[in-house]
Amino acid sequence: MGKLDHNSALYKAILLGVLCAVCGLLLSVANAITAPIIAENALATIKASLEEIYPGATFNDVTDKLIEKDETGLVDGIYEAEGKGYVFTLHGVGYNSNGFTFMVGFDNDGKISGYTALEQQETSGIGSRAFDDEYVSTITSLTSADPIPLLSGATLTSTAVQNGIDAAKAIFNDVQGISYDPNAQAEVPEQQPFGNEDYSKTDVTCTEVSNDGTTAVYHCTAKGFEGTNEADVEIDLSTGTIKSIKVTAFNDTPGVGDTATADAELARYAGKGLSDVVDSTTGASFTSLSLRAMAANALSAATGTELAGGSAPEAGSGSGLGSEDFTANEAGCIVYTNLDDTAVEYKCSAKGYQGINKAIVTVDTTKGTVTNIEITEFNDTPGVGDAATADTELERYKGASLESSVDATTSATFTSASIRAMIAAALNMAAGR
Amino acid sequence: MSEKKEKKQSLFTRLLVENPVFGLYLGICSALAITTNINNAIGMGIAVTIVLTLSNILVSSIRNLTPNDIHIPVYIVIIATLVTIVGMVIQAYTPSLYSALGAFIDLIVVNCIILGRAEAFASMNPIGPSILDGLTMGFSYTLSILTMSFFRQILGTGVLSLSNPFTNAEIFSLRLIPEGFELPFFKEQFGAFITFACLAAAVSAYKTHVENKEKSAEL
Repeated sequence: MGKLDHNSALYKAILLGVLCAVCGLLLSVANAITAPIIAENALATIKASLEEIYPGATFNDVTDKLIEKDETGLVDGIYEAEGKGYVFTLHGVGYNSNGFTFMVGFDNDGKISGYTALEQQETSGIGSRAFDDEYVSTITSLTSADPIPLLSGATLTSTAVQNGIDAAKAIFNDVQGISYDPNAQAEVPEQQPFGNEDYSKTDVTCTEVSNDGTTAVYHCTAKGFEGTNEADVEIDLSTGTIKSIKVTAFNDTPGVGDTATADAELARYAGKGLSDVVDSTTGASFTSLSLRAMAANALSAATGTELAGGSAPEAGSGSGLGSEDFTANEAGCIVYTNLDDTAVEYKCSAKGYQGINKAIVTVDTTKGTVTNIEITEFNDTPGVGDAATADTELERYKGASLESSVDATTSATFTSASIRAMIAAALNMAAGR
Repeated sequence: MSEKKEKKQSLFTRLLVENPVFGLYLGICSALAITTNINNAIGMGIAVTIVLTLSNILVSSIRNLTPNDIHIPVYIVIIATLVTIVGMVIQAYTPSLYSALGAFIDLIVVNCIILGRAEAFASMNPIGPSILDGLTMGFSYTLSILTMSFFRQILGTGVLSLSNPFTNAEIFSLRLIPEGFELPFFKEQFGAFITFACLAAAVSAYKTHVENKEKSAEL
């Protein structure tokens, strides 16, 4: 070594070259020893999840081999269950910007063998429905050639799921040589006219602001996703259609719900009547529903047409107790006493305006009519709601059946609705429904 | 730094005064980041000690072959190789430790203690003392982060626990602060800074005390 000057460039180059070669050799040896163990460890963490789809199968991590077929970047891992099928781990971003991970398995013949969330924090009861049993069983009834349906009301989450499964399908079908139509769309259930939709959850109300005989303006409110939205709906009275809809207060999620209140979206309502179809705005189902609820109720009020889906508790009176919609009252009854073969006392409860009212309803089971109603607990506004619980008011229910209509007590609509809900529930129970 | 000329001090004093973390403020990045529990601290400490000792051996053994103007790249290649190998071994045999320490294993490469000792000690001393230096420095680094994580884990979680990194089985777990009375901010970054500042202040106070004593002894 002494012959070569330590400060010559050649010496430095040789030294660094040799050093790097030795280090490279050491690294490759270390890698050769540890790589299989690391791969096994990585598989061990996911194995418990994979076993949910293929219990007891032998898994191989084939991610490195097949991931290049993924054009979407949504596939995290691909695992082959020997002799059984493939499992894909995927990620997507739904409503929660942190995203979620899930996996989907395909049998070798193409049937979807499993679909489950690995980690998700989608809104409980909304986006999380994309991982509930119902949607899972929908997905697992399909094959790798079928389009994946979206979940209404959880569009963002289920779109992310759909994109992920589509990516997995593309790789799986490519590997297995299964031909399919990648652009096929899932069948969308036929839309009903927006006048027939169920708006009971939106608590929609409309009040007339102006009416000049040809055009009426209603100010409406309806619950959206997290708040109550308000809008002015202008109705053309001669044609029974909407002239315009203007959102005056928006209380849903900014950046999500407001796609439904964009001018272009609102313009779609113009010229529509109750028998027309107005599509829901994708990704903003709740806000969109509140808008349709307001539009439908304004039209209903302006044209005097009943809405088929029912709405606020006061709507639909006069059509018979049995056919009124009391879902908002959450009425329920239990058998209190069997007086004799023909008469049963039911203890019932139902939501009124601010509290839950309770009553004992006596039903003649042979005729299916009310013989007596006694209020046992009154929790609505004293001086307002109790107008509906006066003896003379209660007297009107005696002899009523599911078919007879009993008018609501004016100015105590909510309490009255709770009473009628309890009677309907007791009569329904007596009739064995 | 002229270790050879320095007076023989007690091991305790050397560990404190020449402590790389609290005395010389080296390797603070990892000390702040991973000291949330003693498991991490022990794992990190052992990894650093191994890398430090091996790099000291290698740097020392080629110190006469390395021209001065390329010594930094040579050291970096050596340290990076060692760190990568240690990282692979940790990932293969103690995956839980690997996921807890994360990027900080790779960041041992830029831990100033290692390059610092290679530069200041191993490049000028024979292999024997270099090994000793690596072990001492590694040990005192381990001790420092162990002390930090000891306080942070107890104050932050109320529980002192240790588990076997190979099997994840718990070796012992001791609740010292009743549930609901722990101070979770010690698990956070600012808890790390506060712990570090307090310990560094204590070490600094001790250092001044020792120096004063030496001065008065000389007089």
